[in-house]
Amino acid sequence: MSAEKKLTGSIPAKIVAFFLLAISFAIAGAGTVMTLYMAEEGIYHNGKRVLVEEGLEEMAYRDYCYLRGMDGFLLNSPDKIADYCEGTNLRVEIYSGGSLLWGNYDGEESLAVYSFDTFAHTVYSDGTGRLEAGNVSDKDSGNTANSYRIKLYIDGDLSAADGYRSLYSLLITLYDLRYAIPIGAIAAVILFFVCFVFLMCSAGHKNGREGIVPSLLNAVYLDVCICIYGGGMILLALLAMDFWHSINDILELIAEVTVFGTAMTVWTTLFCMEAMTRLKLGDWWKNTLIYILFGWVGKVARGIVRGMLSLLCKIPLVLNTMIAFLGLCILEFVGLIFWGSGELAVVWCMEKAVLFFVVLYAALICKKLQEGSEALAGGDLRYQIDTSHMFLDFKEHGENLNRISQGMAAAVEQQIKSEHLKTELITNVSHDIKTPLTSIINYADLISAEQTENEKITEYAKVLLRQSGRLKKLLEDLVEASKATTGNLEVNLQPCEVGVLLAQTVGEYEEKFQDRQLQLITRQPKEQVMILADGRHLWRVFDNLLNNICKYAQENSRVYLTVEERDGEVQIIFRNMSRYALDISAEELKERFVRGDRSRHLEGNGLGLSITESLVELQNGHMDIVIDGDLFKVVLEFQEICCGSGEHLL
Amino acid sequence: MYNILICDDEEDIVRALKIYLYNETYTLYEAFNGREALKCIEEHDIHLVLLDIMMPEMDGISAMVEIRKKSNVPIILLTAKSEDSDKVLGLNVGADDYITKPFHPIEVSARVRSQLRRYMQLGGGAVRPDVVRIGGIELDDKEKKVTLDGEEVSLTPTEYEILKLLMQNPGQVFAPGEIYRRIWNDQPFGSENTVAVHIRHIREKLEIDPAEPRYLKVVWGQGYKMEKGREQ
Repeated sequence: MSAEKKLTGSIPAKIVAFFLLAISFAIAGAGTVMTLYMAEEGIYHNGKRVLVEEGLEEMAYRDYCYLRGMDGFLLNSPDKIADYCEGTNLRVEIYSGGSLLWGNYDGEESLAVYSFDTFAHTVYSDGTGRLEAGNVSDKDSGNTANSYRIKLYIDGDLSAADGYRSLYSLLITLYDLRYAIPIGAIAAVILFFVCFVFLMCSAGHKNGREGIVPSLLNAVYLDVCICIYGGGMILLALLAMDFWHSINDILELIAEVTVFGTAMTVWTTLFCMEAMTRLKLGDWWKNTLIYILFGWVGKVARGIVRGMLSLLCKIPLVLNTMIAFLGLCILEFVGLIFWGSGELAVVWCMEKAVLFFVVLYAALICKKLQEGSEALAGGDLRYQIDTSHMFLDFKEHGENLNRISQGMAAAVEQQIKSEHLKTELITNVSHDIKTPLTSIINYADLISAEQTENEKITEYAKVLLRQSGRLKKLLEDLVEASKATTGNLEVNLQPCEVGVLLAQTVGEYEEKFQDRQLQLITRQPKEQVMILADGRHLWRVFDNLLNNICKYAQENSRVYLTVEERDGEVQIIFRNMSRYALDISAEELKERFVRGDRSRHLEGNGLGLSITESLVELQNGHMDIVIDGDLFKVVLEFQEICCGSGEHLL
Repeated sequence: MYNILICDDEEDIVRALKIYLYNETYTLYEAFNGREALKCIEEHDIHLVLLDIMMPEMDGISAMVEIRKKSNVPIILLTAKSEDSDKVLGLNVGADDYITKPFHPIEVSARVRSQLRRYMQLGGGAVRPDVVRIGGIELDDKEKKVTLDGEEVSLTPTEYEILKLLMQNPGQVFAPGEIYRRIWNDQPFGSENTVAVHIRHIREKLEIDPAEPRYLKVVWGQGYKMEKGREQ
């Protein structure tokens, strides 16, 4: 197996095989022609003598034609005949009416004798040996044409080296080889096929390379290859036809068949090898000009169709259907006018009128289903499609959609239930913790208030008190965070005036800020800005953020509290300079239990910003934290609501 | 001499409360569940009850319902439940005040004092025309005097005017700008902050826990209002 692989891959083997192929074809071709010729000549059932006689007859006939002269009018003079026969194996006798007029045959043994009868009007004479007209002329009551017999003798020894001798020797050779030649031809054909099969098998293989190696011609498209091949074949065929007319004898025929046949075979074999390589490579059709052209055309067509479809998609479904339907109707109608009859048009109109309502109804149902699925996709799980007026598959589809929404609603409810349970668990646990914590706080307080000489006791009690205070705060925040993040908090959204909230905030925090030497600067638009929010939760948000600012702002700095209104969005921005370097990302800060000061200089549990964000989101707002160097910025975003409705509610 | 009943299933908490509330004027009784509390009220003349909600045998809410059938004694709920709904339930069923655990001792004694004063001293106060009363707050417009649970509170004239406006319209929400217009008789061009600061000062003077006011409430994003007293 591997040896064969090696052989199919080796280039010298291929070249040898190729040459063998060419030679074997040449031999086969020549052999076949010869065999056919021999069969034609009857070499296989007649004797050698007949072969020679018949083989030479053609040549003799050509000689006779020459001797007779042109157009049957002339008979060459004896001198000329003698000249012609000089140096050849040809001997001539001319009879007229049974009597010998002229001859140079001396009665030796001849290989073959051919006699031809002819008429001639004139017999030239050069004055020395005039040939008289024979009795023949008497029959014809005029001397215009006389009957002659010309006998040609081929010299038995073939002493002269002329065409007869070479032809004779060829014929003899052929006769001797009459069985060898067909056998040889068959053998050559077999060799030819073996070489061909080998070349086909080895096509594309190359030693030292795995798999099929594309040839250098691979860059040329297959159909272009076919054209080149066809062109070559046609060229060769034209050349062969050209030569065909000038073929005189068997040798030339053999030569032509051999040369052109071999050339065509070589050309075909080369093409077959190329084709075979591509066949083995697979996907050969992709490497054709036609495929690429069709692909390109297909791409353009697809693009056009897609463009049309997307254009159609922008038109609402019902209108879409109607446009398509009416377009079709008009087309049909035009066709009907040109080729149809009047009665048909009436029936057609009635049918279309019925069909119009059916199509309209189906389109409306589709629209309904589409709306339902859109609502479902948008998260409205309570949406139920009214399937009472639907039929067949539409109804089934609508009911399936309803079932999906029911299933999903159940799953969501389950999820909400489990979230509730989680919050409930945290709340209950925190209640249970609070009772012992109360005692701890109280007794720590009592100890610290106790008069004792041991100062350490007081000190330790204060630590207890402080830490239990922190624990209490942590518990409260934990419950709140759990409620806020799971949305387990009652949210009562009401119109809320941001300016008022700002004023109230300033009132609450004025003193605290003064204590820390922070200057609070508020800016707000001149007009009233209303947002929809739960005042208490929003205050918690403000409270948390301002508490953070109190805790972390650089002392003696300014704190900016700005309200901006832009395109129906209200932004409430808190800005302050941080006391500590903020080596933390905004995203991390929002996570639970993460604090701005990694070293934890200050108290706090890191739940503040997480709660704040959840509370903002519960009120349909959005919180963003921006950290720019030491500038710490929190942006709250809410939708603005119309002032009119707000005042009405107030 | 006042008799105070402390009722909680946690002995430690009862003891701590006893320590905090201990002085010459209070006589302290203790109970560890609702049934004992009811029995104690039967046997003694109790002036104030500190009642835990979650207790074995009989919980605080049921005990309170029982107490209210016979007595008008002030009840302060003392509980670890801090949810709004719990507070509302407690107050609706008949509690006078509400303290969440863990509590601050000073807050407890302040609330106890406040309830006792109102119950014992101002219980049957005569209605006078110039006096507006909401909960423990009394505003005497003739004398320009405000008292909280009978104790006079000193307010600045502006604070007094604001409180008067709010108390004369209990339950109504006043925006800071509106308050400014009424009190200062002027257009509030960015002076709402002043109002807010004044309100905070009033709250600090009137409320035991200014962050959780009982009377002067903040309606965030809208304004301020005086809670409608239960007496009205």
